[in-house]
Amino acid sequence: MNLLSLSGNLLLTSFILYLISTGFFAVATSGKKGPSRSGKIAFSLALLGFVAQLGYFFTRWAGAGHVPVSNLYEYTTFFGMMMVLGFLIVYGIYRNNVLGLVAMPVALLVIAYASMFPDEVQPLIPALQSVWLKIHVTTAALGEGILAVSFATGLLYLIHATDFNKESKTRTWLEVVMFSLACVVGYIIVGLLFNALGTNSTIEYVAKNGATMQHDYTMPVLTGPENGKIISGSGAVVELPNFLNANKVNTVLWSLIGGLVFYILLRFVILRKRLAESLKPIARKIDLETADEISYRAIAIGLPVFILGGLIFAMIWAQMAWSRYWGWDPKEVWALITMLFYVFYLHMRIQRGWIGKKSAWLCVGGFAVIMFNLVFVNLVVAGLHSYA
Amino acid sequence: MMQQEYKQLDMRYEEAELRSKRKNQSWIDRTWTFFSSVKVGLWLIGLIIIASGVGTIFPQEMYIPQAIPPEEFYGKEYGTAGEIYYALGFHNLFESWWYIGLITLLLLSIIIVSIDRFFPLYRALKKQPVIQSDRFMGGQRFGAEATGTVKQIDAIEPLLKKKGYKVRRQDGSLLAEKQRFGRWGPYINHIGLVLFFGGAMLRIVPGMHEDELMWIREGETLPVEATDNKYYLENNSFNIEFYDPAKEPEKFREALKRAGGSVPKNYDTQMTLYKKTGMTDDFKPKLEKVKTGETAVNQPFEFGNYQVFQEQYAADPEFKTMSFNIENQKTGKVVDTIKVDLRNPQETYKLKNGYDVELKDFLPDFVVKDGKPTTNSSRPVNPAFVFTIKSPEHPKGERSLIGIKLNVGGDENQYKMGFAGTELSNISGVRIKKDLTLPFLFAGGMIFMIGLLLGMYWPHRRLWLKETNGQINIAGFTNKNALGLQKEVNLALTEVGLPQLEDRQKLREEGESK
Amino acid sequence: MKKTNQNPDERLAAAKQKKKKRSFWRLMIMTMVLFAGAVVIMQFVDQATRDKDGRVLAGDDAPGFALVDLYGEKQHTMDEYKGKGLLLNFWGTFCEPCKKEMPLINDNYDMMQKEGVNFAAVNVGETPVRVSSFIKEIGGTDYPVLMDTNSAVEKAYGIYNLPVTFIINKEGKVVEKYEGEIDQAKLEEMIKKANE
Repeated sequence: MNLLSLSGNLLLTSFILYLISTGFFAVATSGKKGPSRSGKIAFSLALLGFVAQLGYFFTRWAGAGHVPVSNLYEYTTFFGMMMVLGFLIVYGIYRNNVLGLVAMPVALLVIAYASMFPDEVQPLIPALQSVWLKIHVTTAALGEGILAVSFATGLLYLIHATDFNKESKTRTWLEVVMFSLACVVGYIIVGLLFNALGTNSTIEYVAKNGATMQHDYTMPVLTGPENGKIISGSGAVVELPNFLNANKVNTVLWSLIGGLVFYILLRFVILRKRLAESLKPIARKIDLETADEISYRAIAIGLPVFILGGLIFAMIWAQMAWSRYWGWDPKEVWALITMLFYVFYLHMRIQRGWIGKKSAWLCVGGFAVIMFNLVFVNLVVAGLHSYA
Repeated sequence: MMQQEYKQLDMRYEEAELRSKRKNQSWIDRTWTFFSSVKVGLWLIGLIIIASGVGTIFPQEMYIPQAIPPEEFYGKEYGTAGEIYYALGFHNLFESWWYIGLITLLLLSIIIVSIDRFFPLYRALKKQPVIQSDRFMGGQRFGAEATGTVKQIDAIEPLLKKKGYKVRRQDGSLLAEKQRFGRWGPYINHIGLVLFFGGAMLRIVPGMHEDELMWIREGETLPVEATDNKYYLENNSFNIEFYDPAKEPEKFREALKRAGGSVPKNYDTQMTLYKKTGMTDDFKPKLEKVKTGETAVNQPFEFGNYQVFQEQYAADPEFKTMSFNIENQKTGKVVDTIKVDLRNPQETYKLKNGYDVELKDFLPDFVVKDGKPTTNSSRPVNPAFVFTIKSPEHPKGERSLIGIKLNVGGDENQYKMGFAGTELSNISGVRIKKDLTLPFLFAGGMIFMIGLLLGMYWPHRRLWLKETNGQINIAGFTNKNALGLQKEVNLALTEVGLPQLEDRQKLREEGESK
Repeated sequence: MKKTNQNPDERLAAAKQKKKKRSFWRLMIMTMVLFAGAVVIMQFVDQATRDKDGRVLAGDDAPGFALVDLYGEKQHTMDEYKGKGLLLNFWGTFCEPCKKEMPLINDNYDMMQKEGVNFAAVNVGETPVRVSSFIKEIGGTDYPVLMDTNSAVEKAYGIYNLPVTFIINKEGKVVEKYEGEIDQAKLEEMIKKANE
């Protein structure tokens, strides 16, 4: 069998194993307190899934001839894998099943999100032909993966500590976080749906510099470029000024619509309560102390790894490839912001005594910064790192 | 059992008195005190985070197309928001006075905070008493009390030693300690940061940093300004290779199709380095070959403290030479062929059989202005030539103006210049770089990382045991990883029949929530 | 331990001394860091103006050069002009105002020399064929036309627009950088400035 198709199958296998593992974590937490049998099964399945994903990683490496972290599909998949690894490490220390029930779905979401990008292997451009590609990208992703664990525990802490019967800022903002997660799900569902329906459109327009450009839509066109000419498919409902990328805005709009539908369905039809509130029975199974401690440790372990990979190795490579170790490229700036944010967290915690709720919010915020760097900086701001 | 509840102590600096917390009078001390507050540092970090984020909304000045001046670019491209962005100076944020100012203040804060805290902490940790007061022990986060004897303390000593603790004894009491160096982590990483920024600053010292972008055509030898023109670089050849969808393995085909054509596979410049040894009599530099080599992306060409990076290349190659046939218009016979080097054209060309061609004028970027042929620039974009052909029949010469799709006066002449081919040359953009600050940055980065690891991965752990009148008082301390301390110490405590450490903070909070 | 047997006055004096010393070091540290920051800021401000207006500005030392004239006869260097004022002009045959100002300058060249001011016109990287054809066209110049064949001097002076003339005084310092066509009045002003 072809290495690349084997690799694809292994990824699918790992995805399914993660899914089942999540199920077992759910069973484990619904039972009595303490590590139960289903907890052990869940952990083993997650471990097995991780091994399968390692298999995906190395077979793809062999198949492509270079380390598979060179585009958005590969990087995001790898980031999901590192989140699982981060979780496995923390699980090894704390043996907490509730954590699995939140961390695994988030990792699954990230991997599913990755699958929305074109998945074919691509040859490397000269700038990427370096050993530092493996060193820098993998270390940075590992750091981010471990840091992401603090998001899971931070979220659990907040849900546990919030009284949903009283109106509060925490209650509102927790719903905002849940809605954002729903939008990721929305994006994936809408993307898969339109892919299956084959709703492709192409619109031609004249860019600022006078060149004729094309937008290739895979989703029905809501927003099109100014004075666009339909080449195929449907026309735009609204035309946007050209400094906005109408295609990207269109995708964001559809994700919001998908997310909204998904959210409304969950909130008013299926669960009939706030999404965060419906997680409360699960969150209550982890005591606040532990959640707080795990968040802190995940950051204490993950931050040095992230700084090493995302900043120090990055600077060494940038010096070699671009002749400058630092160039204020958006991706670089956001890596710096990520570091400063967690540095802020650590000092707030150690020096200013921010533990508990405030600290948990910072954990959620840190993950938002990481995701912003992964999603928005690549898709919207772009720059030298536009490949991944 | 528990006789008295003590207030939990703030152990960050071992209760040492921080200098900045003293009363002070002079403005120097007041400023110092201001910056010694971590709160101020955190405000600065917060501001830097926000500013940096805003700085990435639109591209920075250095990344915008050079053809459009920035004052027009932002408004044109991004509308009013872009104009505001430009007006507020965010287009060049990272070199703006206030961004650098924020970083300077943050550095000052880091230095002062570290000095203010390090010395008292160092002294306090250096002369720790073995026997601590009940207030001190009761004020620790972890602790326990039980009836017991000094024998139990004696018994636990080897167990703790086995776990890597350094143990001190006094009058039966015990202090076990490990990984104290972890406490220095923050100060070490702050030193690393200061060194890093100090190193980056050294750039402005003359001679520490040179940076020059050079465009060299194939076959051209140019002085390297960054070396004070002491060295010359010759571009022997520039090679670029694109991924060819037809030739690449099947697996890449889909991605290449999506990318839509020209994805570069590799580009490099073969170059020769010369050293100038003096001047020739006709005022040309005397060059001595030093070495030949290649520069490619990720593989700079090096000489001395300099590195030559392959950075860019011109999208379109330039005309290098043009050849012409001298033809007899009547017979169609070609007399001879000449080749004109467009960068440094010769004035006269001796041909066979007494024919001569003189190049009277060379217009690299031909245009007609006010009825006169002239040139628009010095780049050979649209070359035109004024030739005089001297033949036995026309010893004074026949004049003609030849260019691309242009032949003035050539038709009436007996001899004409016929276009016979052209050679192109690529232009390679290389960056010459010398940066003597890098070792400082590297050292700073390493020290920072070491400090960070010490602080994050090696928690300081201490255990006190004190016996008074058949009562044993136990206290534990760690600056990180509470679970780790409990796991490690509880085993030993149990083994000698003492109670395990309690997390008093947790008990207190649970008490409160009930 | 050492100081316990001192009397209270001595101890107070010692404490005061120590405090003074500490204040001194605090001031030193703060000043040094802030000064370093200020230097970096100044550097960037300076760089920003230079990026916009070229690399050599009024007040700078004129970068050295060694250029051969159009006929390959003589090499002219910055050093040989030192001790006298110099108007260093950059031009190209493709630049209309350059063409216009050349006869005017040529007419005034003798006068300039008498005033003790030199003039040199640096051609920006054109071929000798082109330049000599052009100089013939305008009937030759008395002042030297220097050939900056590989544009090294053009680069060192950071030339963006043509024509541009640097007024350089006896000490080799740039007094003014003038962009645009020179007329009689401007030329006389330049001579005066170069001699100051």
